Amino acid sequence: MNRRQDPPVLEVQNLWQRFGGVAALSDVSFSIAAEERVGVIGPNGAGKTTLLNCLMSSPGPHRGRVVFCGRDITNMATHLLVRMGISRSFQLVNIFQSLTVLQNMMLALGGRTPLFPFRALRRFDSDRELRAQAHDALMAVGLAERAQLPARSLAYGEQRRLDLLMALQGAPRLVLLDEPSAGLTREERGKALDLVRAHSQASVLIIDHDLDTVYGIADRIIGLHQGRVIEEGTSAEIQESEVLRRAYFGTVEG
Amino acid sequence: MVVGEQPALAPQVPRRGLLAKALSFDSAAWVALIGAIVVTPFIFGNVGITLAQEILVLALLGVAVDVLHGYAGLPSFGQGAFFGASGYAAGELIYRLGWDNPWQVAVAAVALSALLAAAFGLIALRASALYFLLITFAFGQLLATMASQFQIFQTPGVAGITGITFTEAAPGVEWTSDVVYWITAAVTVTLLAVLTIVLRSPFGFSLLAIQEMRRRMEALGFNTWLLMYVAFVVSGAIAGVGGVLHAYANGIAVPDDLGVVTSAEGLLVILIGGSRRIGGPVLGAAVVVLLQYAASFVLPTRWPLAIGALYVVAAFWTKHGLAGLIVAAKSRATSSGKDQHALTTDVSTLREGGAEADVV
Repeated sequence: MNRRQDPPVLEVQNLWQRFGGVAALSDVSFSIAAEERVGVIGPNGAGKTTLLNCLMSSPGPHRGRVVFCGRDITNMATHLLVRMGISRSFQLVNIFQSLTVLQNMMLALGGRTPLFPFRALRRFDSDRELRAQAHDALMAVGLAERAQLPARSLAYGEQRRLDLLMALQGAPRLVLLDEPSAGLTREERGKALDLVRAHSQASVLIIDHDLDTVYGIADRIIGLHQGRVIEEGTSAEIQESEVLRRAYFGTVEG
Repeated sequence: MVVGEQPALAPQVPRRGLLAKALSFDSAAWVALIGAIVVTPFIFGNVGITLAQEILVLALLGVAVDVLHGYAGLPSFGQGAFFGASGYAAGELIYRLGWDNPWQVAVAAVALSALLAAAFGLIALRASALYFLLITFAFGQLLATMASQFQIFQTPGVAGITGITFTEAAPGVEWTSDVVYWITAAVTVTLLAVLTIVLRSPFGFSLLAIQEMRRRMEALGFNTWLLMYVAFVVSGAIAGVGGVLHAYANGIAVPDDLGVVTSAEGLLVILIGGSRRIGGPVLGAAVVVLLQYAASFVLPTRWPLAIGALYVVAAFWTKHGLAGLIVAAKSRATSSGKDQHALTTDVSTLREGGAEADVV
């Protein structure tokens, strides 16, 4: 295991984000190595989702740098970040409810091709190559029989799986996952994590309320509290962390 | 391995989703449209030609609104700006520069509308929802005011540009209102056909998906701003086509063509006719034009009242318009109460019922 010696996939340097007078992120720095899976935990309002948004420039940080594979990507347009190999899932289910499952996948696959939406004379539904690709991807997660149904007709767990699957398309080098286990049963949660593990070439930044989910998948964990990194370590170290326990359970802080 | 997955693509499985349905090719609507266009002059004579001409032109404006509102989810209240600008451009080219080829004038006028949209779009797309609506509205009013204030936008003695006419449509073909009608008809049908293809391409789907969830489209790698911008320019160009044909038919461009009245009519057409269906704008335009015509007999000076009432009715009607109502009625007839919510069900229900559902 010498992957830690490769240049990091993501380097976050002294990130600040403010909303009005409130500092949502204060001087956050960390890095993620190739194929490494990093979890970010912290109580509500710690700045977890803000951090993901910052990395995807939606909106970008006020100060600090984000470097992806050696390239400064601070405030670069979201769609360009995606095409460079960063993708994300959202806290709430973000699939196109009125399109079919297959069409959702086709959009997820097509989005990385810059000129895809401008193939104006080709019929979207009859793009055979794209259909086949989308179908293969759905097959892998057991959604192939439902390919032609409107996405809204899927059960909640299936919708989340589709959502996750869409975020994992196009062989991203870095995947940002925002609460991928929210609202899922234990079994569904396991499936979701397996899906993430199956894309082992990707580095992962995962945030989740469910600590078991994070402990179960992350190689390393960052504790965030009031916009600051307060702890960093392996799952085992973090579970013993006094600092983090205080942040979560609100014991008096010095 | 593609062969192995055929079972899932079997025909009894619904083939498309709701939004896809809106884009589906619909032969009945085309036959009806082309049939009506061809038959009208022979049955209703000159009045028929005048009204049908207006309907087609207004339908084009409706389509322009629909591309923005129905597909990209951008509520424009200023498409009249591009409609009117194109008519004014035609007038200026004829009156000041002495151009005398209707085709060259039309191409230049539409190009100007597209350019104008390209410029306005840069500003308007910085806003969204209500603010987008207000900005587009302001653009239209700005142009309408300029047109009524500055002499360069007027021919002497008229609050507009007159004399938008030609001697010949083509060598040996005299420029008459009949000829303008047939040109309008051909252009409209062609444009509708091209748009049907474009809007069911990845472009149309991308716009619909942006309307549903722009952030997600960004996160899938789509340049949503660019797509919306292109939609804005395309819409401006389509409105321009309508506008130049309108000016050709009337021989005049007036400030009202640019302003809120025209813009509102474009929106009304879609509200009444229905969005994202080939027949929607045409049906909507037919209702608006014929009602104005009828109202002008009954209430010679107060016909705008009738149009006002129509707004209210349209607002309370369905969000699918006339075209949607016909589809719903068809599916009720064929699946006899099996399905109460025809429009929210999948296209398969309609297809299984043996209905070529999207008649209009």
